[in-house]
Amino acid sequence: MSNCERCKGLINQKLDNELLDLEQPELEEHLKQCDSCSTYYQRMSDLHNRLLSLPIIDTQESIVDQLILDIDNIKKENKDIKFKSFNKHWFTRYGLATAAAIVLFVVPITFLANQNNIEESADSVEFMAAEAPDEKASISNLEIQTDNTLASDSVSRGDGNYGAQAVAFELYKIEEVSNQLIISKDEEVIFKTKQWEDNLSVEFYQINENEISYSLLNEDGQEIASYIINLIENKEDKILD
Amino acid sequence: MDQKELIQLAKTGNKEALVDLLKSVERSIYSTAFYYMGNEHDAKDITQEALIRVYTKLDSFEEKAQFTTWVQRITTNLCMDKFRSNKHNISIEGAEMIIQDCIDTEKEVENKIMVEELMTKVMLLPEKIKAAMILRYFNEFSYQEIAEVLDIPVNTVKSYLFRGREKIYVEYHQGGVNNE
Repeated sequence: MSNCERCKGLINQKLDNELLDLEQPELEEHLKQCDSCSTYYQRMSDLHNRLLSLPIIDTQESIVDQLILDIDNIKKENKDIKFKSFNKHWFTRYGLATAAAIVLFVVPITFLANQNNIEESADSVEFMAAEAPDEKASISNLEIQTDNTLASDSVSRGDGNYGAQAVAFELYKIEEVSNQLIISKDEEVIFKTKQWEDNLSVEFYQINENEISYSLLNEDGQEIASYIINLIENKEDKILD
Repeated sequence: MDQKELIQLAKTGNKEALVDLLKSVERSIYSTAFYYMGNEHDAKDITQEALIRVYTKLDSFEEKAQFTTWVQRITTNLCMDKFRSNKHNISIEGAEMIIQDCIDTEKEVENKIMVEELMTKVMLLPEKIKAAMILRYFNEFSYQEIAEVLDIPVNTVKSYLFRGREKIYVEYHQGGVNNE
């Protein structure tokens, strides 16, 4: 064992059932010799067991039972592609389903020529209703009024493919230039982030009409900081160190 | 009937299979959303949206992927989007009301405060660390499965779980809670 830091890593792997067989003797040997790591192991095991014992939370009433009554309505709405006057709560839900249906059936036609990237990779399990590689993609021309919260029907996180969203809002153009993000609308630059260091990479996506999130990753792909840019207030806030 | 059969039947339009399938993941969706958002209201909203997405996108689900991983990815993405877009209005209510129903034995009642505090500490973790911890502890996902859900490298998952546990541990001791 080279040092106690490595031992801590192995202890955490062990707690996660991810310790390799060949690493087990190395860990045991170090724990025999190092009181500090033994104490750390006991404390982390204790915490781990408490975390494991936390309850899985149940709803008081089944949400499926509430939803299933409206499944047929959702289907019907998908066919009609028009909204009725729901109360706000249900509008959000139906709006979501309908928007999903619209981008499922209508947007692919619009973007037929650009669909080379639509196929999901074998490992990608998040379905994208409309993966439009063009960052200017907008379905506003369908004259759909919908809640923005429906818009970020996410999203291949981690690949910086900000165009890959089923959106009900206009996407900004976001470019990575000289270690900073430059955000433009109608060919006009409206925001520039601070520059980051050469050894970092960036992931970004548009959250909603007014906000863009980006994260900086080190060479190991580890996220070291995340920011949200608010384009109305023209500022960025750090959300993760 | 196992989950694969339910998926196949639900895809053909069998409503009963669809209900059973959605019910089989409802609890895990809600639990993830509750721990992520920290309050019942947002958790219910996200559960509803996630269930609708599972339903509307079921045809696109490829059976070579794991259904539970796919569902959790939908759920986690919804949580992240809602959390970030409402980040100034997120209310962490903690677990006091919820946990009443989950505790049965006298011994567990004695530990109620400790459990509530620990739940709240999970809810207050930084976003991605919290997501990894929730998938690990409430869905029993492996490093690889968490990496797929969050679309991050396996080593990052390892680092998030390491940091998550250390952060909770340090805060416990700073908060003066006897954890020995």
